[in-house]
Amino acid sequence: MSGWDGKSKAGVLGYKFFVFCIRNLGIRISYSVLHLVSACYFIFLWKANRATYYYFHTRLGYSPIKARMHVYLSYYTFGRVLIDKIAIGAGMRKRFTYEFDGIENLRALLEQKKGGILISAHIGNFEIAQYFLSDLAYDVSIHLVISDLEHRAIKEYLDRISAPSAISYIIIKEDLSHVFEISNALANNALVCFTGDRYLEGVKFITSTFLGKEANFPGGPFLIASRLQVPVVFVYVMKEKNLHYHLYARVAQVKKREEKELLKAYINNLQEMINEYPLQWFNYFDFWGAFKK
Amino acid sequence: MGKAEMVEKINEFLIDEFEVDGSEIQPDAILKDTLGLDSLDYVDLVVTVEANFGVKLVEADFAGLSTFQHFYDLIENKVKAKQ
Repeated sequence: MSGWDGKSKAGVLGYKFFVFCIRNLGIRISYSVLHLVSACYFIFLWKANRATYYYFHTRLGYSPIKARMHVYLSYYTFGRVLIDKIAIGAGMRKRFTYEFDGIENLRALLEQKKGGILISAHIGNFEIAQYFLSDLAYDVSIHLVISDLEHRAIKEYLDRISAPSAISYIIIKEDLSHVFEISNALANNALVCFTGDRYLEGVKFITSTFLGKEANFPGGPFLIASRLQVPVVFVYVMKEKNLHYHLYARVAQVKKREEKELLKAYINNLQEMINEYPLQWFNYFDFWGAFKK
Repeated sequence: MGKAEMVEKINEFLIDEFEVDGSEIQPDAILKDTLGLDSLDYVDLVVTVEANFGVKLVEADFAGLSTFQHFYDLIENKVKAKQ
């Protein structure tokens, strides 16, 4: 089974390019620029193409032509999501509309005053959740646990151009500082968010069937959530047509030390999201280890 | 609480939380290897220690922490300092 190599497909340079486009050309014209970028990805990212084609053709059962077309559309959709994230962060929030599904679950979680764990995925656009939650007058702080240096470089760049954010990042480091940041966040009734669908080589993983074939998932989020006995909610922010977003929050039933059960519940939930939004699952690597030698 | 009693309580929650065989927990055994801790498991360790002993571990406590004996000493010192 395969782990993520820790490299994002869009680097800081890519972000800078789109910030330039959004500021000078607007959101919708920036979307159209994406066709050019998506075409380049489609032509040159051979490994990502292969993995994404496998996802659409073999795992979702699309015909070869439809799967090939969806590889391109997946890049395009990913680009739109990035543009929205940058635009919203740069103060264009009012141009977007949104709806909530299960917001009462987040409200109930916060009222318990025990902190909470959100488990999301590399699907949709979770990082913009803060802007929508702030509209509901929630005094909530969200800490997103990330592991890679490349994300940090991108985040530092976006911080420079964005309005202050309610999301802070906890970076997993060798010095274990993240351990105290996570435990302090939970003690302060904050929400700690993990993405549950990408593991790095060398960390604990749990294997489970996902879209009909076994795959590895990071063990950490599910182990912590099942051991600490804090409320757990699966959260996804999905892009709909035009500039509309849909936030989903689903409560997870967590039994002490039943991390595999929690993972199964997560996978079931994630598969529902993928069935509804197949173009918004952004894992451009050999997720199932289908091409591993 | 005496030292032996404290060690017993620590071992109990480590066995319970990390699902290891009690016979593997020896004073000179390496904590990280024996419990199979990865970078996120330490969150569980910190929270569990606080729940069981009412003391908060901080970043500096992990410097030089290697064996179970180190861990027992750390908790003992923390508890004493709190009293």
